[in-house]
Amino acid sequence: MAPILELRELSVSYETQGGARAVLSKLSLDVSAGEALGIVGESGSGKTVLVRSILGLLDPPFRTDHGTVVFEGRDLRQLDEQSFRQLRGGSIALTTPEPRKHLNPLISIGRQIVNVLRAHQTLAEQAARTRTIELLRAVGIPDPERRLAAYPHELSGGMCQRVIIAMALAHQTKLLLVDEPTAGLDVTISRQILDLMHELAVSHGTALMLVSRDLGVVAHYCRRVAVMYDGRIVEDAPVEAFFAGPAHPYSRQLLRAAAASRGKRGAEKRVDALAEPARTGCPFRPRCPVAVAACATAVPALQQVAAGRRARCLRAEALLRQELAA
Amino acid sequence: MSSVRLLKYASRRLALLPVQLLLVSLIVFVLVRQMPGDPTFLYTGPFATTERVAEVRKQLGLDEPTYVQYVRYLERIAYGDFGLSMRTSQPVVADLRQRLPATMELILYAVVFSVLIGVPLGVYTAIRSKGALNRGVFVYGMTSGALPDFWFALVAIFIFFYKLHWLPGPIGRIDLLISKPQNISGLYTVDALLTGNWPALASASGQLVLPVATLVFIYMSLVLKNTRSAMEDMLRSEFVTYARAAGLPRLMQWRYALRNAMPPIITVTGILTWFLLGGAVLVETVFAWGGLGQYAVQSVVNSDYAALQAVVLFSAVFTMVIFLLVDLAYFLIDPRIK
Repeated sequence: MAPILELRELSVSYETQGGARAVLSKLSLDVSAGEALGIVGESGSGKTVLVRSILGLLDPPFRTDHGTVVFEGRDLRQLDEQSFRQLRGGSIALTTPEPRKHLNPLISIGRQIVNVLRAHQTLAEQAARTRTIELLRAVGIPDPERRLAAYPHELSGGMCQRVIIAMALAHQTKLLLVDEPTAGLDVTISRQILDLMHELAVSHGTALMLVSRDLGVVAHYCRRVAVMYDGRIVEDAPVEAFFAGPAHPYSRQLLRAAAASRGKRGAEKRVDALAEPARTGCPFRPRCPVAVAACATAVPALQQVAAGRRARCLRAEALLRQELAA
Repeated sequence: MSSVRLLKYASRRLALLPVQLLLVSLIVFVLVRQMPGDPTFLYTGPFATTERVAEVRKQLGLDEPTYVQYVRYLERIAYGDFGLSMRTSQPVVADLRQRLPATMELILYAVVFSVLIGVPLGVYTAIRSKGALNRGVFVYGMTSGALPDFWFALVAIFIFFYKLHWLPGPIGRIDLLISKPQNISGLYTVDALLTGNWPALASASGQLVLPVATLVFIYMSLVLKNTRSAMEDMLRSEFVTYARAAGLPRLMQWRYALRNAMPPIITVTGILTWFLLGGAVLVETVFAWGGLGQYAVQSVVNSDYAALQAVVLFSAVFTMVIFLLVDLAYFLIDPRIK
């Protein structure tokens, strides 16, 4: 399928007193219509900045230095504010971690949803109200007529997340950016929320870009996974193949860490103290157990390593053949 | 539904008011009597004989133990009698009736203009962090906090009255040749407007310009800076970012932010109002305003017990009412307050 979102060499930096620090380095990634893509990586790898930069929400000190964000054939970076505004919450929507913080605490949720509806279409008050009730019902909020007047603090975190989903899917959403959907919610609730999101996305034909530190969530809901490290995609693979055998040593560490946190034995090899990414050669080299001399000089490119798989590692093929123990 | 809750909340707060006032009156009563200086001499003059002083002291009831005096004081207050001012030889109530509206009129306009100018400027500079207006506001914020209000008042009088003759001089609330408007609220501008007394309205407004401008210039920065920082915080908040991500128009994003920035803005407005009741005293003095602040200072200097007690009691009521209004405003804005 043709990609609806194409990121090409997107570079974002963060202005500090000591100069600019790269947050995203020439990041390229495609999302196809209707597909579910998972983005994983440790905190600080640039996942949230990636999501915000797609929506054009980065404010100083963040700065987009380079690259294009093409959505449905249009370069969003060239878009004027008015057209971009129509796109946000329209064709591209966002759901956030800690949903309650992202709702206006002083306005009823009904009014907030009505405001979102009317930001994108001309709707009479009564029609907007009716549509809001429909949306609340669609996201599984019981007794929606009464809940219109509720304020965010009167709802549980799970309910607030449902309100956010209702707003995100109020229009013909083509791409739903889901940022850390499980943060701040307990396990059973986050499962329900993710099921709902997934179900609605599938029924609307909405592409999902699911950013999470939880590999289990990605394995369950996504068809493809992209691993981020130091502002770059280091691996991009179909989910089954990825979990069967990662093609990048960082992916392997992530998988092992996930296994360790689930309490499985045999994952005793912990990730060492998180060394800073290297500035020359392969950025992951200081933490890499399988690095060789060549890694210190050559910056690996994101290359095809198998059918439908890309990895940014000189030793990807050896890793894939499972020759390298570590 | 919310108005019923509001009434309940307000009446609960108001029910506390008498208790608080009783406490304040007791503390003031006792403290005033610890001040150096004996009001008896104010009455008798410095050359009276010891016998005469003792006689007067007995007449004034000052020879009784403090608690007896206090009970008598409360009894008289119950009949609306706050005693005689020894300095003005008038009932304190009559003094206050004259001076209170003077200060209230000054505070009213100073606060209204501080809010009308300070809040929009604060919002604007929070939204647009660059530009000439922003730099101007920055310089103003630095300057106004560093200038004494009475000095600014004197400079303003020098320029606008003495040099340019644009505004009337510091001769009080109304031109001496123009008769005061009929007393309704005590605020000259309001009363003149109500009775259609245009010469009085023009004169009273003219007299207000410089003192109000002084207070606004010096103290508005409090409102401005608080508005700007509250607004900046809210513009950076998650829910405004999310409103932007959801495609809400700019204006709506700003409204979301402003609504959430209202509580601190209301608080600082309350604090400003409270502060000006006594804080405007130097400006009152410069403009011969004859307000409450001046009266309070004179009462302290002259050990004028009755006057001082009444002023402090009134200040307490005023403070409590201001902060009750602040709390009620919070209550109306924020549904999380129970």
